[in-house]
Amino acid sequence: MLATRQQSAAASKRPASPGCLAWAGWRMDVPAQWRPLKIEGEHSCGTMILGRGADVVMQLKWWRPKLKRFQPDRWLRRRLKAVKAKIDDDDTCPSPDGFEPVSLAKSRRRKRGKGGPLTLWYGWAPDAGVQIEAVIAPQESGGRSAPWRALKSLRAAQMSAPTVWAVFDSLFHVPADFVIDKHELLLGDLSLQFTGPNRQTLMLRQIYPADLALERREMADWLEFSRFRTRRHFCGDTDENWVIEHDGKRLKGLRRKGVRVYPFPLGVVRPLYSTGAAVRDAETGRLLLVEHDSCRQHDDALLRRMILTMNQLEETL
Amino acid sequence: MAQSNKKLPRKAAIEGRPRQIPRVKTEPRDNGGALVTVMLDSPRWVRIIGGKPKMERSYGLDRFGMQVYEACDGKSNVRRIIKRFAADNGLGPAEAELAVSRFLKTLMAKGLIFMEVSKSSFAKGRK
Repeated sequence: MLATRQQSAAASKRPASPGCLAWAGWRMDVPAQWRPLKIEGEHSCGTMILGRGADVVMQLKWWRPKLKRFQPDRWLRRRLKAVKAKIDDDDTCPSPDGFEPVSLAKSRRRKRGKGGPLTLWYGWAPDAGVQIEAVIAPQESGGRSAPWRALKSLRAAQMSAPTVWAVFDSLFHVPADFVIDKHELLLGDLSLQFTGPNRQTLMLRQIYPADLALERREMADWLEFSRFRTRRHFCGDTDENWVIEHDGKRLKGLRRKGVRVYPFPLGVVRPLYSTGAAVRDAETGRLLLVEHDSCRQHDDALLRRMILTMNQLEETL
Repeated sequence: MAQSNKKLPRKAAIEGRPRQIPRVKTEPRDNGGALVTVMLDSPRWVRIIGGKPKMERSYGLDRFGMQVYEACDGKSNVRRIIKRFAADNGLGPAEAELAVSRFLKTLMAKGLIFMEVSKSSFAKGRK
């Protein structure tokens, strides 16, 4: 037992992104005990409920208005009317960089048995084109509380800029113009699928602990087995060994190339070039998987970049 | 003591001390896990038809399951088990809490462990 503990402690190190939570183009630093309880929506609008254990701490909503002449003040007035809240002139209102204007409001509705009213925070990021609403639980509101500090650290990626996705200490960098399509966040198995221009699909996945995952299934089988169902099946070469070396880091794994086609007799209809790779990161004890489908060509450079930037807070490539 | 129809509050649960029921035997496996055999009460229907009141049941635990199960010594509380599990396996506290609490629930449902919860922490958690 003791030996087992020492081995695993030596084998795996926590990735270098603790407390970073990023989704759909926004990013903030949250306490390590917080976790997403529920995620809904897509790139244009969605909701994330954050909690400590099972207790809800904060709800974050985001919208990307399509109007060219979006008026945040007008939008806020209408929103406050809809949620029955009124502006609260509090000096401690968090004003993160890139958000202008920001407002604080108190809901007139009271949650039964939960004490005071809900606190609402609104911020419009013009460069990112995103409006954010944060609903803070009554017991968590106040100038020095954790949600306040989290909101102060809120940042939004600019429009048409690469985005960061971070949840459960796992971090992914995604190229510009790729938007989330599907996600599946299981303990020890996080998968995100994005769609990009020209029918591109990018699937990023982290599985951990790697040694346990590889005991259960070979690396080639992990590459074959996707969390997301697709109508097209993979036809191509056998898996080849693949090694990535960068900045003193050496990642070993497999790579495969081929095409994704519809089943017979539709095999000739719009095939997609498919490239996939799975490597083992011995430092963090994780399996890193990437799969890219495109109607144009195989893209090895993208695969390499996606793998090397996983769990790196700053994209240094 | 919590009633069965009431949910244990998180604060009380996290301060609870899980304790193993006495083991009959433990057979280690190659992957770091083990096959744990315990003595449990037989189902009611078995006793009605004249079967033995106690029966042996074996559960296979992997390396990580064994880590948590071994930590259920009645001295460490759930908070400490989570902290140790997170440190040993390079996980964040939130993820480790989710994994450990779910696994402890399973162990309790299978009758491998029981949880000692003090009256004071239960009362605090209800507030």
